[in-house]
Amino acid sequence: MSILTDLFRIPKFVAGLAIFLTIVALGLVGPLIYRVSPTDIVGPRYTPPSPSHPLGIDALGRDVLAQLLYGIRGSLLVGAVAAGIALGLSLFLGTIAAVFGGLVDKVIMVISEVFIIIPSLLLMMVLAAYLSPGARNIWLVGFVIGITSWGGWARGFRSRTMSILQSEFIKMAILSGASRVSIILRDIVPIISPYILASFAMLFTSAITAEVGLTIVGVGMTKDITLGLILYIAQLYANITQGIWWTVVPPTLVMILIYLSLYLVAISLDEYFSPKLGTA
Amino acid sequence: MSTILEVKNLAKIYEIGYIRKRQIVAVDKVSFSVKKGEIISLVGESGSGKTTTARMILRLIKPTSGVIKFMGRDIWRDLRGGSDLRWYWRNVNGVFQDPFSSFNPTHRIRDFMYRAFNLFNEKLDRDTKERLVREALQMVGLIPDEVLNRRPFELSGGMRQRVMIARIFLIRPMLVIADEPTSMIDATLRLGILRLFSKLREEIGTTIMFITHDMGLAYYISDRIMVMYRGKIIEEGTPDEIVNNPKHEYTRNLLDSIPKLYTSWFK
Amino acid sequence: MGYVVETIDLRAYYMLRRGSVKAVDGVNLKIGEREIVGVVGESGCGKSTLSRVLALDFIPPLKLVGGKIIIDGEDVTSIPISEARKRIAGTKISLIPQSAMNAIIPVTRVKDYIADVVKEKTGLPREKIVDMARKRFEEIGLPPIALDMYPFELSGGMRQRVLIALATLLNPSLLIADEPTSALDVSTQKMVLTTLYNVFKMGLTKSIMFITHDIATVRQIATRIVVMYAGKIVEDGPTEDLIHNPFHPYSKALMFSILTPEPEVRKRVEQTGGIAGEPPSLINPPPGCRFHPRCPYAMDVCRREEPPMIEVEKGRFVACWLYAKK
Repeated sequence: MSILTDLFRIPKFVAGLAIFLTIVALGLVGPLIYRVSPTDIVGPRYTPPSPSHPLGIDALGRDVLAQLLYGIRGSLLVGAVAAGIALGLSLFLGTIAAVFGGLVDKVIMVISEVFIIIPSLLLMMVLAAYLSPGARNIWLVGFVIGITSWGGWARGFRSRTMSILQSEFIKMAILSGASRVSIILRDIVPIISPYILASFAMLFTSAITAEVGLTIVGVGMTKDITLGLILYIAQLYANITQGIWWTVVPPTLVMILIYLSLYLVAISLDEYFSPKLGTA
Repeated sequence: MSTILEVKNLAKIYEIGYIRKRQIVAVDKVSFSVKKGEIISLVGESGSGKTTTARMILRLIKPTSGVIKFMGRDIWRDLRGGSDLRWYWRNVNGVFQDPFSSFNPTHRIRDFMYRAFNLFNEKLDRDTKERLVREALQMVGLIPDEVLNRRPFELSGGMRQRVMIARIFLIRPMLVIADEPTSMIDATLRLGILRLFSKLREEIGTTIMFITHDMGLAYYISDRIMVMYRGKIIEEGTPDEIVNNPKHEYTRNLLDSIPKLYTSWFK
Repeated sequence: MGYVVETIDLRAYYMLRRGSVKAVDGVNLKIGEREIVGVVGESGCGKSTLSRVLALDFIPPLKLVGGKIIIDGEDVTSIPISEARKRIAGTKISLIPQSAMNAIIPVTRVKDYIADVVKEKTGLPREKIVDMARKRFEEIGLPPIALDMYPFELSGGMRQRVLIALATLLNPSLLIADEPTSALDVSTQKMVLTTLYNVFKMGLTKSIMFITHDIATVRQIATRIVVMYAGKIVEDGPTEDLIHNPFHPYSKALMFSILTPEPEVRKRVEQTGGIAGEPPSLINPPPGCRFHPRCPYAMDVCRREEPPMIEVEKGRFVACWLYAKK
């Protein structure tokens, strides 16, 4: 696997991946080591950081570190659900549209346009109005973000696929009796796989950010703990104006790190696999 | 000899521009037929329409009008569904010009060869397939163990072109359309590749149609040459007729412009 | 008679991570005045690299490893490269690289492009350069209106001829043309060759070095042919002699692989076959004669020792043990 060893020579890639994996580890393993329930009331509200509560206590008397660790877990899950849905839809519909063309292509493109136009905020507001507050969990928010963010990527996959379809080796595959499905799975997907990876990283980051955005304005998460929900509570009780920094800074910092690390991974993938100028 | 391919009034017109439509006639009512077992060359310069003609015969580009009949079946009207198409490509297949872009860079040579089994009606077990692939590679002078697990960029252009011809030996079609199969290959390797096409005809009885800009190449290898210019076939004849006694002015000019090894224009 | 260019044991390698590609490896070449030298060889034999080296175009990873380049009697390898390049560019050696016209910006008019290039080399005022170009275009039979056109408006053949005009604008000692015709249709090839020949006849350049893989093309105008194989010169001789009676087994193989519609050629092709094998890797070239793995006459000595370049007949040089033994 010379591609992997090559990638690991890129400092940006290594740094991004290391930061991201550390955060993932915090979300997965953290709650097992720091065994404090994030929902229990553990002391007087707004207790500043202390040895027994390293990140202090929030507006509702809960431990902020426990909240943060569960929040990371929740946010990563939202990101994974949303990115998984969006990537699946965009890859499937984008390649199908390009390979089948004609009416199939036209219909898919119209649908993608509709979903590009609908913002996740609008859809979430409508759902928030009809669903009971308790139903707004990780899965629902992840689904809404995923379903509203695939449109642009589908167009991206479609255009990449169309350019690959011009190659001689696709004509060779057709002359070998390869079906359209086989062309998508065996010819196109392996070639665009770096782009798929990069797009997953980007979808992931934007989904995590989108969740925070939705939750902060009050139409997002209510049930499961995410970084967005921590910030929402902090914002609801006007912690910033009161100088209660420990409920705001840690989740923001984690957000920025997730964003930065995946951004580094995505751009180094893109730089590495984009056609390079070089000597033939 | 019986006719296996018949082309009648074949035309391809491209429309370009959105507001003011302009028509580009790539192939202009071309008619010819190919007899079983012959080697025929379609010679023309870039833009003559020769590659478009080849692609239409390979059923990769849809003609604007006209008929292509293979073994009496109209390939654009009579073939329906996957099994008809597989039958067609089992019997009519191609070799392309560019040994670099004709291979998916992510596939191994084994994948490339095995894919052709899609065209086979008979169910073959893994061992038989492997044996057939190895035999085909040996036919073109490659050592199977050296190439099967390689990826295309690990092979030279000449070797890749051999692999492409090995694929033809595996499929054993009745008609091969070879589109400039030697133009991107070094001179000292070119004759070797051309010999493989002769071998294909000798051993399998394949009919071969060369698409080329190189009159020299056509002169050696063909039984019959057709000269294409601006979408039309302007002259047809045996190599000696074309080279020694060209009728059309364009053919005469073309032959005059070919640099010769034993004479010089300037001395 | 002085030499326009003389190289002594010239070595230029591409320094790559996986090893150095010895593209030009011990080349001794003298080009005199009033010569058209055709350098022929297959892809990867080092002929294009040789042209870049002579134009002192060292862009990493290409590096001059050893040897001398003497241009008009001056050893340019003993002075700093940038200084040397300033001295020779355009006036002494002028290079038309492969597919050069594709590299220029499509939004620049031909005359602006010429003015930019020549001004950088000479510092002459633009008007003067455009006047010179107009005169030169007329001399070599190009329509002066082409000066006001954009590169994409010109046909492929016209572009090459414009490049020839530009490259000879300062009357260089040596014009190097790298595959100037290979991307063109045969009917335009002849036109470009004619222009090249006229430039030489009219004395707009003292000598020409014509680099190509196609012997049939270069033999039309070359006075002398140099055959390269795997980074080395294997044979060097007057065109007619070398074409009709090649000495080196590789030159023979190359000659026999030419397919032109000529009776002599057809007869020969029916009798002979091509040669087996492929050119070697230039990272680890075979020891001894680099052609020995493909050579039908290979002897023991060929596998051990590199053959010296010897003069077999007057003006005919060959590096092959078959001739060195005599």
